[in-house]
Amino acid sequence: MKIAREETMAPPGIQPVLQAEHVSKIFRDFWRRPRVRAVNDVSFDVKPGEVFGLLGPNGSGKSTTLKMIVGLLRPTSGRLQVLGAPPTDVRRKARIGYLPEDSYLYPYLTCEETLDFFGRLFDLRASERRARTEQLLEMIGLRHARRRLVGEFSRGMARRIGLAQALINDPDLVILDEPTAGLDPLGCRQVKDLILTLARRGKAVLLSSHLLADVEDVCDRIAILFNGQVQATGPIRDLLEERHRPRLTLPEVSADQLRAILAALKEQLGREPELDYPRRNLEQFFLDIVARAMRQATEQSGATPSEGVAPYLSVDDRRHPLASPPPPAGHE
Amino acid sequence: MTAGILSPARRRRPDMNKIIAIAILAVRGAIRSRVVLVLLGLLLLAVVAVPLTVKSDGTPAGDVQILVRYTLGLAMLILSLSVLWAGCASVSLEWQSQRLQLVVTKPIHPLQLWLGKWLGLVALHVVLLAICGAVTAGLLKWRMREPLRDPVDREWLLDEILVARRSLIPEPVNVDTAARLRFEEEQSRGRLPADIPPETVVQAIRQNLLIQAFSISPGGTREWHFPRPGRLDRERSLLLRFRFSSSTPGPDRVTGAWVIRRGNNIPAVQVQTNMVATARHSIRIPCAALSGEGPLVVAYENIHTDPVTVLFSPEDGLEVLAYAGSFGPNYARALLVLSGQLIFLAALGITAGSLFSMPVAAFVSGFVLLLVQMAGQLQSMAAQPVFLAGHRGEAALSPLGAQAYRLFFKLLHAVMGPLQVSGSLEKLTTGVLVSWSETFRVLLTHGLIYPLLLALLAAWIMRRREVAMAG
Repeated sequence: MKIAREETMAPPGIQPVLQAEHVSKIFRDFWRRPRVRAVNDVSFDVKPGEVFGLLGPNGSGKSTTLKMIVGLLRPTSGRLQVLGAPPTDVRRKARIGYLPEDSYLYPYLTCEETLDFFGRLFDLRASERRARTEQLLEMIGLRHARRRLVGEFSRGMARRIGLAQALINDPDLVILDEPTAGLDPLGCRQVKDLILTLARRGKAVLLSSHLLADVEDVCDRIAILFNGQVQATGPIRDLLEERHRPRLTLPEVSADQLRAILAALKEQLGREPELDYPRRNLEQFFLDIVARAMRQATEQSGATPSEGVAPYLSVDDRRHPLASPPPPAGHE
Repeated sequence: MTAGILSPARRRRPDMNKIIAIAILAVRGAIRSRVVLVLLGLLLLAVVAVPLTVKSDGTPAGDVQILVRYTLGLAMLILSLSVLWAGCASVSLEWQSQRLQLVVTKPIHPLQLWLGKWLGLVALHVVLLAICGAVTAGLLKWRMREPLRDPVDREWLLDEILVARRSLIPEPVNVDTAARLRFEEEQSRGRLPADIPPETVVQAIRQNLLIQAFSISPGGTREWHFPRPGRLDRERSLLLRFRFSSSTPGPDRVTGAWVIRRGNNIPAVQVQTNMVATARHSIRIPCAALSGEGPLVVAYENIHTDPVTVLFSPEDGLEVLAYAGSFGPNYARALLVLSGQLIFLAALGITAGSLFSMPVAAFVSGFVLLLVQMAGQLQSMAAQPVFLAGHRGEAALSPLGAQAYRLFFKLLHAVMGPLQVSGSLEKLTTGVLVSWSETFRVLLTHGLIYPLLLALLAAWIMRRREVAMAG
């Protein structure tokens, strides 16, 4: 099921969930001498209900920026505010979900134990942990592998578990570093649908990727990084739209009608207009083929694709994170 | 996220929930990576194989020594290395593998993370120690059975070794004033070498006087006063345990006469001994024969026919042992003391792992252990001025430098000193009481105070340290 893209951008005046102001990061050597300037004067913000993408080639500073936002690294200069507090504030971390660029899971835990472990770190009640674990395993298609050790998983399967752990606390700010890396096209589609569902619920999503198509599919706004600096930023539509070259989409027309329309356009424009026919994209074509095959197959090894998003993540309780007070230390 | 349905009283504290999650993670990791299995195998091998392979001196005490001290000592060595290594690795390797990244982005305080890892490691190693202790106790009980052990030996073991006796040592001899007077006398006569610092000379005179207080020349007699032994069980005996050296080389026997009494009362024991030097001997003192009040007085007369001087070591030459309990509880207390040491090692390893990468953390924690073992030497280095002087007596350091030197070693000794533990296994295999106060002291310092200080240090560092690397 493909979730349709819709405008999820927050209305103006809403407090950002995340604010980065002139943030720089310099890595130093043992003698504190500057070695590399990974992030250079980066500023952006992310509002509730918005999907913000950090784009850039390898080594452009995307992951470093995300690591500063989750408190794994400290900015050398500049100011970072996450949910109204510095990134190192432990209580605020209860409202953040983070998926690093590699899943970094404990190989001696099973799927179920991994999610239960992370659920405990968020002080979720045992029954709540069990329910969410069930729903997440269903969502990521690993219910059948719940008792397998994570260390035995392929990269794609580990990625799915990594994504599930990032959502166990139903976070208000979801930070995803290369979320579709290692996933098959079906998994990629599911992740993208999930991101859109989360945004529709008022969650802020910050993702980094170098897969442009993924970013284009889900992001409202983007910042393009190169050499640690923001090269371009803004709503994705504004950045990509070529307003001086409008394109008309016609309903189904006969050959005669088409010829007449083209002639009329040529007369108006003074030159021959370009004509092409819309195509399905490869991703949609692939998904249709797999969906047909799935209906025929009864069993599969590896991950079984699932429909939809975990119910607790789909509950329509749209709210702005900053409007709600932080959860108490214990959720039980 | 939803409101809890359990009443607050029934809910576990949220902070504990996180700590327990980390502890369970550590235990699961150790079990599933088969570390526990390998450790258990090694420990059982040590407990079973050592008594079979190490040759005893043939005495019943030697058998117990091997069965309890060597096996548990080896098991403790294995567990100490394991807990230290695992402690260092549990944080530093997770740091290096970046697995810690995922945990620290959750709402968990570094102190909770530290405590969780510590609890997991401690639980695992204390359980393994308890298994070793239980197997060793079982083996000991089996070896004490009638067909395997001569009834006389058995009786002797139960009275002297497999028992808990409080150790009383002679009241200390104060030789400081005498040493200072002797020094002044020698100085006034101009008989002191000019190139040796005065404090070194006083120290040497003091040591000489102390040895004189514990040595008996041919035909001479010496008396030692022991503190009051407290209430005595008239059914049982006190033991005078001693070890001496003689001025004749070789294992010659030395004849002496012992008189043991209480205060100025009639002697309870008058016995003549002809015993080999350097070996440990004991004389039984029936409590029923000890009449009256006052300190216990032990006198030795050197009646050897040849001119031989006898020397009892001022440190451990003489002790009186009074019955204080049975072996079982003493054994349990000794295991508790060992557990306390493991608890401290776990804390040290985890803290070192929080500060340094894996090989460095292991070396640093090993160095700290070395300093703990050297606590006695550290004290003498702080007090001993000889280190501050050059070969010709000239000052090797400026006064400020010398002060800094002393302060440094005093501080080091103040930190490391409380961590020194007198050998509980040695006490166990010599029938000496491992007291509750000693056990509590070790559990308090090793199991609580020092781990807490180390935890605070590690948490402080972890809050300041960047968890991720460039990328």
